[in-house]
Amino acid sequence: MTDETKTGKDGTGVAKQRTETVIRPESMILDKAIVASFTTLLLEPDPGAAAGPGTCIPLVGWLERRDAGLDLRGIGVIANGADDLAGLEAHLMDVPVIALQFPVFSDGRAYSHTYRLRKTWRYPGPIIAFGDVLRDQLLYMSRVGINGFYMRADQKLEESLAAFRLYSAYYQYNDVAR
Amino acid sequence: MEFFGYLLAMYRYSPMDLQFVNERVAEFRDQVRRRNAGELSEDEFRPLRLMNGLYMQRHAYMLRVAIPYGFLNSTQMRKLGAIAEKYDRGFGHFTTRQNLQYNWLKLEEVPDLLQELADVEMNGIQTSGNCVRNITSDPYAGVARDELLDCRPYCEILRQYVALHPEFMYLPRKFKIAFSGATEDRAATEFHDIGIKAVHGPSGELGFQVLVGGGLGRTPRIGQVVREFLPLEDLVSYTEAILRVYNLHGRRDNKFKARIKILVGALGIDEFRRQVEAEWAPIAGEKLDEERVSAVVRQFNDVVFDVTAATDQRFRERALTDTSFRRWIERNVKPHRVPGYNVVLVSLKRPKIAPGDVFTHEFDALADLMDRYNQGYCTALYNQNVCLQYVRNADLEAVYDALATLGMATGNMGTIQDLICCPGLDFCSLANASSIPIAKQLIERFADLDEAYEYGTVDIKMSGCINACGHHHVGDIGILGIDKHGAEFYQIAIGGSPGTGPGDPASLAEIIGPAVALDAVIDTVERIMDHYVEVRRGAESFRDAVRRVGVADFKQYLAGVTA
Repeated sequence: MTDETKTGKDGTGVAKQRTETVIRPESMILDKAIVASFTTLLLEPDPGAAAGPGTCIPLVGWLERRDAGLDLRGIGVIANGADDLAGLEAHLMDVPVIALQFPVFSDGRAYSHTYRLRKTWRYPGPIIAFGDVLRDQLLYMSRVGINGFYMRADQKLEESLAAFRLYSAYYQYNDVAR
Repeated sequence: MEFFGYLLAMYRYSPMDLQFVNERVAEFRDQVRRRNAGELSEDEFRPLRLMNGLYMQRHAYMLRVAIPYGFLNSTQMRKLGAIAEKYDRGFGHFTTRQNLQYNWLKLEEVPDLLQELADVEMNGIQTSGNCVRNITSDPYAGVARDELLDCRPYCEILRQYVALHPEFMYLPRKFKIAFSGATEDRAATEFHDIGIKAVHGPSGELGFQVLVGGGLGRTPRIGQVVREFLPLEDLVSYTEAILRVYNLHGRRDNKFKARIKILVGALGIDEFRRQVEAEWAPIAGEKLDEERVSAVVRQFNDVVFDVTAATDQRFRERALTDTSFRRWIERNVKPHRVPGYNVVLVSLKRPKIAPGDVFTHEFDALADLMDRYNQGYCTALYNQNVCLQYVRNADLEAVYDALATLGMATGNMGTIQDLICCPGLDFCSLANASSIPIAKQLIERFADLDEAYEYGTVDIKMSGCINACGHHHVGDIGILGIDKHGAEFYQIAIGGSPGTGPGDPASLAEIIGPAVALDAVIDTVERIMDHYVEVRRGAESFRDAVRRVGVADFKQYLAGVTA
């Protein structure tokens, strides 16, 4: 979706991207293997009836539905860097999948969100990175605990798997994934 | 006080370190290949090369090589010279953050260069980029008389922790950490994103005081205390908590407001501290165990000392008759914690040579000196000099004579000649103005050592743009190059200090008048020194005199003489 992403003029990584509201690539990387993607990301603030099993919807809408007592079975959460995920902590066991947006690859906030999800709150389900997801950041994403990748359209999935084989050991003794 | 029971020399790579650095080179080699094949755009490649220390400068690629905690061995020194010869134009440049820079590189040759560095246990990992940069420390660590704790094992533990830390490679902006383990702060910890000072705790135990939010650049800030006392064992988890708060909440919309100092300023130190403590709570149980510390300590070589070294006092005879030698002893030789040993400053402030520059044959000559007289080591200093820190009394004369042939034995350390400057317009693509030519002019103008001594200790710091690589904010005299309608102008400020201890608090230099043209910089500095000589009381230093009479007094004087 972000094939038009480019770095802002001042180099801060403010992305200008085509607004695509439904994201579901054919293939994805999951647990270091290429598989068919398994969830559709609905980015509209209120996707209405489109939300159902096998989709993810934005965090705010997900929490509103939760508060309204609506059926959330099979519906995952989409979050971006600016979201406060603390509100989700109490409900994590009901979340089948979490999709974290990388509006531009240099925006590192989702790494810390992942750390909290995995290490502090012990979220066991899949976490998918989407947006400006590139081969050269895959290893970092994977090591904080992201295990699913909707890669940017121009990325070659097969070649990208090489990222997981770059290093034989790491210094961090408290990694989630190794 | 000696914490480890013996003196540590230099950290040597473990098998894991070596493998890691080799794999990092291989990763970068492939990234360079893909960039040249058009598979990686320049925007995508830029942060990847920066995290390996590689910049695109005005004329060519520049590589910044980390010198961990300033320590180099003679094999590395020779290799640095050989690389300068093979890949650059025969010289390297010592920076203000214990790095060495090469300025004339070709991208396609950089992977080979990095492999040569890796072969001698060196790298450029995280010397740039929006990640935790190479960690710096007191250059006299391990030998200083006023040392509470040789922090380097802790620096190394933290370096390993942040090396390709998956969560913190894309921070809002660069992140610099410095350690000081002595009473005198020689690492400018007050001006780092995190400054860590060894202190004694309530019951006399050693720990760290942690400062946060200091920095220079366009928004200079003095660091604030985020934690008065942190047990040694909590160093890593507490740093991690700070980094996590910053990664999540530091601004990413404007690169000029993205450093942690802006976040700390916006939240206030109390709220910032509250957030850090909250982030720390769940991980505070992750203590550094003794085994981990000892494993790192074991990677440091020991130093062997001659217990009879102090009995040799022959150098004093020569000092009686040889003025240059006496001056060198007085200015360039510093006290050592072991009797009969000395810390010898090697002056890289030489006429007609940019501060910090060393040429190929000089790398070799220095390496020979290191081998013969300094147990094979030397240390790079924050002020663009190097030092030999294990010189016996008996060897002082020989070291002096050898350095003199290299022009590195001028007794000018701490004098007005001992200025620091960034590469400026000669190399840097960010610069607005030259700094090296001005530095050369200043060294030439104040070449007379009698005059230089007359002024005592004076610290001139110069930057070619507001990014402040030359640390102009914390100079006794700070000179900043600016662009004024396409011409190079210089803003001159006085009264700065990096803050070396209780008697010398950190302060930012204040501007003393309108910016001056290139050809008026030297005159202005001269007038500042004239006024200092007028107002000083006895042997009062420049810094103390400025603090007593105030910057306004100098301002008024300068306005008067130029009117």
